Amino acid sequence: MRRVVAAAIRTERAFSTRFSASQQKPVASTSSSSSVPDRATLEKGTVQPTVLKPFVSASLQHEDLFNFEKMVHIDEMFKARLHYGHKVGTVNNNMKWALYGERLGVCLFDLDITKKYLVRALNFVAHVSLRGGMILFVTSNRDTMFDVEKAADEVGQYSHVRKWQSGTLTNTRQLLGASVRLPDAVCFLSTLTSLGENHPAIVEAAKMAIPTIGVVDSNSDPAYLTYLVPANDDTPQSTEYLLRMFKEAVRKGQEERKRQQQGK
Amino acid sequence: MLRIVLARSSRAMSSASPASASDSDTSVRKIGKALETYLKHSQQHVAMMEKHRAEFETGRRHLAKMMSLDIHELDQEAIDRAILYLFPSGLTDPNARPVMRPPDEILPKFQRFTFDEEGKPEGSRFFTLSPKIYGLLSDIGVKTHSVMKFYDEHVGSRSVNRSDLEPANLSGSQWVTADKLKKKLSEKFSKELYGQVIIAFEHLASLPGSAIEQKFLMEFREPMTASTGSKLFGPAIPEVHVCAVTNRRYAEVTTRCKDTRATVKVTDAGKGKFDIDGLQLHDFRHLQAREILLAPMIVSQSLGRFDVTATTSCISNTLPEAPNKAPLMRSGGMSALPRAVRHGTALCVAALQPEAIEPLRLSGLLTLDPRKNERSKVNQPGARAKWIWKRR
Repeated sequence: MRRVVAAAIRTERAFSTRFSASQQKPVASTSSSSSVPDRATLEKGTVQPTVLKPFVSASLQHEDLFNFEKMVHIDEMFKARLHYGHKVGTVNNNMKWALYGERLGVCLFDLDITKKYLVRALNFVAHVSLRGGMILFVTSNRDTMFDVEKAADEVGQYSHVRKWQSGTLTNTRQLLGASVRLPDAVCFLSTLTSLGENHPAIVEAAKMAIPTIGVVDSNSDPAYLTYLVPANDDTPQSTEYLLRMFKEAVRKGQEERKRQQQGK
Repeated sequence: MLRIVLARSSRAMSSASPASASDSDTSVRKIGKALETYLKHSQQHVAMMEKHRAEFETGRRHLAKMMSLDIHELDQEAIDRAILYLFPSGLTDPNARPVMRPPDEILPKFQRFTFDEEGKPEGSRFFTLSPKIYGLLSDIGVKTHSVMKFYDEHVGSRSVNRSDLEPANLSGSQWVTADKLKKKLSEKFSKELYGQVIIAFEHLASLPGSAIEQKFLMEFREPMTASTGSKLFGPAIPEVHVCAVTNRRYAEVTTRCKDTRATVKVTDAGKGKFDIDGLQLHDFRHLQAREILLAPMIVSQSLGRFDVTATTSCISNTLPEAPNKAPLMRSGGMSALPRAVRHGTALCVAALQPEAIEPLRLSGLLTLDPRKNERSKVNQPGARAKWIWKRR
């Protein structure tokens, strides 16, 4: 039941952003309108989503449309200290897949895995920005909150670095007095609060079917997050590096969107 | 994760395909659905407020007719009195009583937002629900970091002005109140949030090197002089009168110190004479008494300008048990009478010479001295003294 409702909400939200892409690509929309998947294909897609790949937009066929693979370097990530985790005793069982090992009692991330997932997240951010989506940057780390606010302001997106008011996403109508457009993606630069609990916005975004990108440390819980970036989220250097990458992704998406609008 | 997104995207694509034949109007309407809803609610709210305002005016006219008053005399106070007369209520809660007020004060306000052409709300802190106060907190935080960096870079250096490495000078001013800050930012916030802002401001102002942010800090400070006149401990500054016979200004006040009550009258355009129970200044043989009496004149730089006339009495003689005791001539020690007269003189000088209020206040001459002799207790030789301890 929840999955059906979430899927319906996701469909309704994606429709408004997808429609602009259809308008910008008349040829693609024409070809896709002539090849609507039938019921049998849709039912098969619930267990094997790759069978629906021929029906999606041409820009989504490419795994790395914006070529972030060449922009992310492992030595830069190493210098930005993205490979440091927390102490071995605090490791989360659901994060062991991303760890390379431990040294002097500190977990170390496998930067190959981190790069793979970071490229995937950056592509998602760029695609959301290409379609005019709103991205909300969230953190509860006091050392990096001003950097996050500054980065979000530079690319015209939204940020929330203060105490999270319960119901900001699920009860917007009551808190703001009017129904406003919710963010299309939420990016968590740190997923744990100062008390070591999961940020309450993670569950609220999941309830509203908003996709989330989370920078998960070795002691974080990756549940309810859509895109994971296993990396260090405490060091100012690593946060600065990740913010630079996300800003570049948003800018590339916005530039591509501007180019398409001018082309049309 | 990618497979789920692909499935959802394909499902959305299938439902979007039939509408691809529509023109751009459909696209604009779909994109701005939230904006469209907001505009519809805004128009509904405006229409409702107009209707309620018209009803209020109609009710006001009917009320004027019922009370046989002119419509122009019927202001809000008259309306309140009329409602109180027409609908007397014994309810103890004021909010539960009948009321007739303009709809702008009673009905909830509509939140105003600004959007861009795609229906996105403006302001990067929109989803914090209080973007302006949180923006102010972030400004304070960023300036705190820059002040720390500035001081660390220039401490011990000669290239920078020495006054820039000092903390900000906030004397003579106080932080704006919560109401004024709400009006300044056009936003509501809780008292705890206001307290956090003040703590952040105080921390920034206390840092060495915060003098470079003096202008930013003074935007949220206001002068303190207007609010200190009525906050003196003890008697207030008396009013100035003009003697009809001699045409000279004078002020009169009654104050006390320990067991001595003094009624002091200070006259302007005088010669510096003292008349305390018939005694002049030179009749006080102790130098301490003379210094105490002359202190207000010295602090206000008005030696030889005022005449002081004072009468003193013993407070103990006016108590209910006084008739049973022998009347005391005076008590309170040698300096109690001069100090009582000094307090009264300072208050009168402050009344006659308003520019001297601040120096007198800072010197402590306008503050009543509430100390008095502590009463003796049973089972000990005095108020607090105890007998010498002996082991056995």
